[in-house]
Amino acid sequence: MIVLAFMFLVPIYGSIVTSFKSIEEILTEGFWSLPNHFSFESYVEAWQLKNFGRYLLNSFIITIPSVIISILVASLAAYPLSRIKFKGQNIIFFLFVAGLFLPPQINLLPLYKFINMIGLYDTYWALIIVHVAFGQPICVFILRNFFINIPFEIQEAAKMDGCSNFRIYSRIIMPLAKPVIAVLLIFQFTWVWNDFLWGMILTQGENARPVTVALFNLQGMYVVEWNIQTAGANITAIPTIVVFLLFQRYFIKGITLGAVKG
Amino acid sequence: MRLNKGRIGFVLPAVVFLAIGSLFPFFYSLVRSFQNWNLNVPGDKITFTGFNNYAQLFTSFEVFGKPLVITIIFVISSITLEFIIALLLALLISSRDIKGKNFFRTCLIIPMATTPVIVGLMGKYLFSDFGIINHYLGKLGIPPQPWLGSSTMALIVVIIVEVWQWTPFMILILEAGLNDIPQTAVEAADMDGAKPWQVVLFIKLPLLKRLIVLALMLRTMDCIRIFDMIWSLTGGGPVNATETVSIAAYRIAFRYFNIGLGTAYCFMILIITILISIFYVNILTREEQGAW
Repeated sequence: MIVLAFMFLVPIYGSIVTSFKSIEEILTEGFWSLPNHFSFESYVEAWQLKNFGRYLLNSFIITIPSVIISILVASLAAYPLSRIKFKGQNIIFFLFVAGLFLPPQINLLPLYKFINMIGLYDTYWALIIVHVAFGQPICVFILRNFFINIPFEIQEAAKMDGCSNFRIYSRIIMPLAKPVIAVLLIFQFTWVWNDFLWGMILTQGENARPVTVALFNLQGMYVVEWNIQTAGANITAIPTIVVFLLFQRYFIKGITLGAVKG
Repeated sequence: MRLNKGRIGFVLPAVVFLAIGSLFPFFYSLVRSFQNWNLNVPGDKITFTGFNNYAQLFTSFEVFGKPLVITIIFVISSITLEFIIALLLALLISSRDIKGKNFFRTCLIIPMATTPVIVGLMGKYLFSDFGIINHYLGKLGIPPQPWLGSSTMALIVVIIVEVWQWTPFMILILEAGLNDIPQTAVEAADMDGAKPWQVVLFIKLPLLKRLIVLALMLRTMDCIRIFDMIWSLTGGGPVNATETVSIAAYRIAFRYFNIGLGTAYCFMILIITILISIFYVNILTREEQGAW
């Protein structure tokens, strides 16, 4: 058991120790030994010289609004799709589900053109729009399936009392949906933060480039500076790991929820 | 009737985003896949060429066949390994009260919470010619291996890295499922003198079937779409040896700028993913009807 846990952790351990060593020490002592002198130099260098602070900020500026907007927009749509009967409902829902199947490469060129056309290339908004758009199918799907199981009696009672649709949505449905929203938060946060392809295609320079792309570009520019590379990687990896650990208990529920798709 | 007003307002924003993110790209690409648009041929007039692009996919094995074979090898070996390792570990974790269970679970979350690009880059450091693995092999007196330089080895490395990152996901799903199995079923079998492996094979596994199929389906879809990890680990190389369909489609459209062929490629991937989901969903619905 311990051995197996160890197996999954070895690379992480390696990357943490390496980041605290100087390049000379890596070459003489190897990777696995604990550093003789703990030094934060690699982090300082990644942060200042390689501008990781800026890229990290970019990633946050992109990720946080993307997550909030996509869940908000999707929940608004999921409400009538699940709680009110109207014509065309099934067709609209089918379109959302179909969106789940599109391979990302189909979208690359059309969206690249679209973003350029509306003049948003190399801005935060370009990435936010793209991520919100891609978040819709999965968010609408999961939220709609959750909403539909909320007893209708609650809604009827509220209607009798003269509640508007928006009040039913905001005061009754959304509070009940908290657990499923937590799950979507983890999914969307990880998804947007981890994105690499769109960051690579829709940005240049440091204006709006997310940290994943910056990290990728770090290699090749310099001779293998293991310590700085691993320092950069650790900085990049921390937010998603923190989110996962914080919401651990929602996670399993989330997988099975997501698994109902298909 | 007041309630029925305003529903369009609710759905509209999401539909707009869906149109931007899925509908418009889908039709745009669909049209392009029937045209001969190639940015490498400047001044070439874009005309409709029917199924020419699709035909071209099959003229040479290198274009579509080889990446497809690589994808199949990659997907099948990855998810088989992930499933077997995960099942053994999940059985181990759920069967006994082991100290540090929660700590182990927390450790398991870390690989899958790590950004795929980082996982790929880490793999690259570990397995590069002067990387850590060769460094230690050297200490054992084994000459350095060209892990990422040889076609077979590189594919194996890609599979190892994939299995490292996603086995924990399987373990957590299977463990959750195993914990939900009613204790009475297992106890009854024990009373009848069933051996532990019989309990696993004839009681636990059948009860987990639905969950297993779902987990395998999710992994299959993800493995077909995988891009970041392979791109940062090998870039599809050496000589396209680790190029799955997803990487190949990107290369054709965005490195070789053959837009027509690239989009046709994407639609082939789409058809394959749809076929695979139909396959899995069929298994699931058959199971629901109790036809196992």
